[in-house]
Amino acid sequence: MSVENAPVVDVDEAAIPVEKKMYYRFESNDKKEFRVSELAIQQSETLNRLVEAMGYTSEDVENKPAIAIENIDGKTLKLVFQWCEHHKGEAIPVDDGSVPKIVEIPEFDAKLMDIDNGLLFKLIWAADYLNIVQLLNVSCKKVANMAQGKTPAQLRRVYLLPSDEEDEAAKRAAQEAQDPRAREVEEEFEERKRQGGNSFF
Amino acid sequence: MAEYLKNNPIALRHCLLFLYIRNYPVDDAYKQFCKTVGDDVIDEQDVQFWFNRFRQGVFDREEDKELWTDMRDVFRSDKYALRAAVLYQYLQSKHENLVYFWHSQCILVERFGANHLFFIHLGICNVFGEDVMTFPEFQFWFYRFFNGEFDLDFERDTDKKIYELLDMPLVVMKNILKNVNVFDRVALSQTCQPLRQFIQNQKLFLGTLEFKCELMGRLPAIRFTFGKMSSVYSKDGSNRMKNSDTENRDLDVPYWKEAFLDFKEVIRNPKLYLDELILAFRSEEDDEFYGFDVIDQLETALKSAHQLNVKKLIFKKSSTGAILKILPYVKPGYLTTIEIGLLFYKDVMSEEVFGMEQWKQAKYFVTRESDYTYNSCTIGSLRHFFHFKEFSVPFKELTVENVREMKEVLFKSPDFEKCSLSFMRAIDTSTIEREFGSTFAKNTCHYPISNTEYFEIKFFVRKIEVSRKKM
Repeated sequence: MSVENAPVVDVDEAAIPVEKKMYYRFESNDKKEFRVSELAIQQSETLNRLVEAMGYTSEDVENKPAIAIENIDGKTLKLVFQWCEHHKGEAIPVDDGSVPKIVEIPEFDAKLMDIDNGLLFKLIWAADYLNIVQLLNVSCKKVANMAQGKTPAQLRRVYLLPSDEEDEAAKRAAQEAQDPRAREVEEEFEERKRQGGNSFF
Repeated sequence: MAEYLKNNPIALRHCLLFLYIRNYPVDDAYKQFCKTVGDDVIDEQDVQFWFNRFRQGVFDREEDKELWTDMRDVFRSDKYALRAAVLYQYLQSKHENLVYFWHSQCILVERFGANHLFFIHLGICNVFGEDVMTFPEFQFWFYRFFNGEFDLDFERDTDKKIYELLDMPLVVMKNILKNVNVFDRVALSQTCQPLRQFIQNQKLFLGTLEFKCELMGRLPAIRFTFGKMSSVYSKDGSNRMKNSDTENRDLDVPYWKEAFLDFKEVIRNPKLYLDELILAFRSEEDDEFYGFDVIDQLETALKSAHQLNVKKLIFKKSSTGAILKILPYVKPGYLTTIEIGLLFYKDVMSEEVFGMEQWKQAKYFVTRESDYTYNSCTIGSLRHFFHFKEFSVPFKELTVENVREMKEVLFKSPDFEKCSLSFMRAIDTSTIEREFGSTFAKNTCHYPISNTEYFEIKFFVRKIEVSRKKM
């Protein structure tokens, strides 16, 4: 975990200096910086478009500030970029809307996703936001696998789902919370009517 | 790890108390602890000392502190104590090589791993009560320990939103659901209203769905099969349910009611698409044995749903009564194939069936030829089959009218490709020869229909086969 606290994280340390390839600097919303190779960025449609539009040279990358990714924190972004580096150069699956294919979770991804649900959902959110198709697929598969063979009551526990009764109770509570105000307005309206005024109109 | 507990005597004591609450005798608790944490952290006398204290309702060293009537309250009232219990559980499962196992067997990781955590959490709930710690909270701490972060005082940033399943965008929810099998979908849609609505609006492509009444040992049972997965509801005294993933589960209602509830839940999705729907049940006479009226129940279930999108409807061992009742609930046009296994002796294929859109718009009709008992059934006039692209049907006998009809109507149908007709009585070849005006060489005759195509007619003792061929 010490790596995470370091100011700059090289996700793919070994490869970068040797091949002298292009890489970019990104910054999470909690100001952690990441260096990510050009090829890895291609896994993310959002980031790929962004860097294409920016047209940075190697000097620009060093001299200009890191590209800020406002709504993802460092812990999540680290996982995202680790995944991208591992899977760089791989073909991006295309969803042609036909019968869904069976998704397999490779060992690397399984280890990467040995995380609690809170972080897993953040990772999914990030994969969706950055449009990383295959990362989204495997992470969604992991969430789906948690449902395997469970009863409705167990599923509510795993995914923190409200039961219908709780849902109803919450709605009722919300309504009750609103009611007094509604009543006040009504009373005021009645009062004014009684006074013969039509100041409401 | 041992170091951490040595330096944190309270956490250590919480671990011991956790063992005490789970009714470990002192010597077992000591052995357990040494195996899990290490040999040099505590000695057996200390364990004995603290267990005696716990028995008196004392957790602290100071005597003047309040006594606990229920030692479990130590955990219920102190989140750090509970975290220590999770830590101990983590160490225990690590010791049992399970953590290592997750890493070495990647395919089993999510499946086994996720369920393993779930059961550990269940164990903690069983000891302290349901609401002592939510599963996500437990999971959060477990994974912290897993990643080597043992700091029990860590506080999650409460300002930051903790994402849950229902917070996910629609496109993500769809992606997740794509990976959820039918049985789990049924369970998920029973959790809460938002998920139920969502699941019922998602397209679901299923290969084969089979509904089968069968015997489990000598007891009646219902089996659903979706592809490789199946779920069995049987009446072995306690109405048990079992599917490939879950343990046997006792049901509170009769086995067949539970089966139909689940069946309804699956078919009520208007966007369900099935390649094959197989219905396999015995005759109405078996109803008493199964304890319910199979066809009536199926009809009730189907009634509650939209017309089903089924490509191929297969009746195994069925009656025309069943066909008549079930066919209307399948979407005409989408249904291309009707397959009937075995019709009962003297069963009559009703005119009502032939009048249905489902019948008229289907392209293929198949009956099994292996058993001749059904041949005595009256399957109606050959005319009712002329709209099919392909069909195979049993008849009593081949009459001159049949042959004429075939020649004049069937052979003029642009859709017709091939058929196979079998008969109870041997075929009189001279009738056919007269009608087609040619003799059969090697039991085969060619009947030209255009410059490029002809029908090849093969005949056997009790069977004729016709197929469209190119010149």
